[in-house]
Amino acid sequence: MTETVSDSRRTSATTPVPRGVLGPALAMEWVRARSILSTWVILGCCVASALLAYLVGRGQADLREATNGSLGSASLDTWISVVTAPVSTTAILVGIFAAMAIGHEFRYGTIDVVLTHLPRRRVLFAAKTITVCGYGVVAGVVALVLGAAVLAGAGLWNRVGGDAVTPGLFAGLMCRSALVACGFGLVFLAVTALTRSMRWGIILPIIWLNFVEVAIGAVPAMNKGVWRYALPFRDAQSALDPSRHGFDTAGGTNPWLSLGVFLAAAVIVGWVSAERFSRMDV
Amino acid sequence: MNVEAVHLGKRFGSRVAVDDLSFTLEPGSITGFLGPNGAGKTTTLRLMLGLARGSGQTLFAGKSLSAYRPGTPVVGCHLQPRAFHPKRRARAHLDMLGRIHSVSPQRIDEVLAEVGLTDVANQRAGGFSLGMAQRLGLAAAILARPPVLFLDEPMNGLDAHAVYWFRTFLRSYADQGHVVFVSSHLMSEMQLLADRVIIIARGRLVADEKMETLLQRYGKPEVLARADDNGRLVAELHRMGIAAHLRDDGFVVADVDDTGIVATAATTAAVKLLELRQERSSLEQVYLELTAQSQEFVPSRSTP
Repeated sequence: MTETVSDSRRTSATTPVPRGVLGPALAMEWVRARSILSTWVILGCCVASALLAYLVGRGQADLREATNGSLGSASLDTWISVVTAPVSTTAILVGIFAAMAIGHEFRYGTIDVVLTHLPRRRVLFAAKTITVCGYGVVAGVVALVLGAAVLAGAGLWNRVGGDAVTPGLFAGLMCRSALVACGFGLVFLAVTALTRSMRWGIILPIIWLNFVEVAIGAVPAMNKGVWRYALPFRDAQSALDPSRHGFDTAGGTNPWLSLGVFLAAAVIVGWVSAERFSRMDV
Repeated sequence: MNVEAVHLGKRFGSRVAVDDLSFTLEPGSITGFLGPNGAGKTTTLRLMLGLARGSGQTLFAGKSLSAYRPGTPVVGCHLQPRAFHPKRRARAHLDMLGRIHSVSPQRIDEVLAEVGLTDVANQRAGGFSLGMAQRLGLAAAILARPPVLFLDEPMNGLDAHAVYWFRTFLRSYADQGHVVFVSSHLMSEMQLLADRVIIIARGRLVADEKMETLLQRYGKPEVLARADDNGRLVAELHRMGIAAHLRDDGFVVADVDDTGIVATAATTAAVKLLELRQERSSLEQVYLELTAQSQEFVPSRSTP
């Protein structure tokens, strides 16, 4: 760059610190996320949703006692259902956070200013994806650990899960929870960038999750063989709780495979969105 | 840093918004960017900044904007008066953008003081008046002291003091060797502010000249006179074959460049001259003339 002014004051404005290509964008994203209240409100909601684990767990424990322990082998599935209940809510909340990450830029016109300061769109999109994933990991793990802690603290851990719950099983569940939350974030971020609307970025995935996939999943053929993995959001739920859709009785689904399919779908949507974002008028 | 816009073009469906525009912006000067509503000014600015996609390219010191490493301050822009999250505090807004360039907290304080927002730095920007919002937008644009500044209608809705402050500020910024490119509808302000003017209409370049050259080239010289009997003065000028008319403000406008001719006419008509001066058409008159055929939205009546 040809400097036209030997302006010593300019050197005091910026401190040249080598931070790589992504560093400046990540630094901006960090301040962006922490400087608005909704980020903390959403995180608070994630924590609050962990209380659901207690309510659901207590209900399950009472049921177990009422039936004199006749829930039998279903106890592990019950424990998983209880402990992952807040994660499903958290995943949606992470999605809303992700939609805000880019939706606010369009809504309030800050995208112009940001892209002028940082004119590489792919870098900005990547930074937002990393921020959303970071938030997803934190929120997903917090929700699961708090859910489990609440269960344990209330003395419901063994009453619901019995001895079948091992540290390895819990670690796997924690890992899948974090990745499911990241995947939700990526899908919501991608849809928001594609539609340039925070509202649609939230509404469309929720409609897809709650109506479109439910309708398609009602077709019997979709619950057999490889078709059990064909619906991405259902896969996300299966990754957390394989028994949720009753597949266990039909041979079961592999939670890691479900997670893989869901994340692959999220990455494809994210990639399409990033490509579109890098080319469109903002 | 020179800025070169080379063959910029943009279509919205079948409508051509920007049609093969090329011009250069020089450091150390303020360039005014004028055109009727819908002429393509904002689209041109967005094309130059890479916010809209079209044909052509814009080079900042010979390189496209995206070729600079992230964190390099190249251009600052202020395209919308309220381009900030309303719940974010003013200082946090600047801090957020400043992180891209590793701007120090001291520099943020300095910029807030420069634009006169120190007292409200910790208030949420959503509660700001239009004038304060414009100042915050300018603060964001100059935060990293970029060598190039793009501003779209920065003085809209400002009171006289704020307009004066803006004008003084932009002049001093340009005097430091920076490129300042300002689009505006306020012709009188632009005449006071800009060193150079680029006028477009229907996406095409109409004029790209220094302000003085433009006014000399297109601005017609006129003589303004006020007499104790304006009607007789106008009649005498007509008799001498000179086009003249009586303006609403009580001045006789004669299409000549010599005050002596009007003085002679007054003597001949035996009227007493109260005021006599030569004037050249204002930027507004030149602009209206140059863009007369290119207005996008023309009212059916000019008077109520």
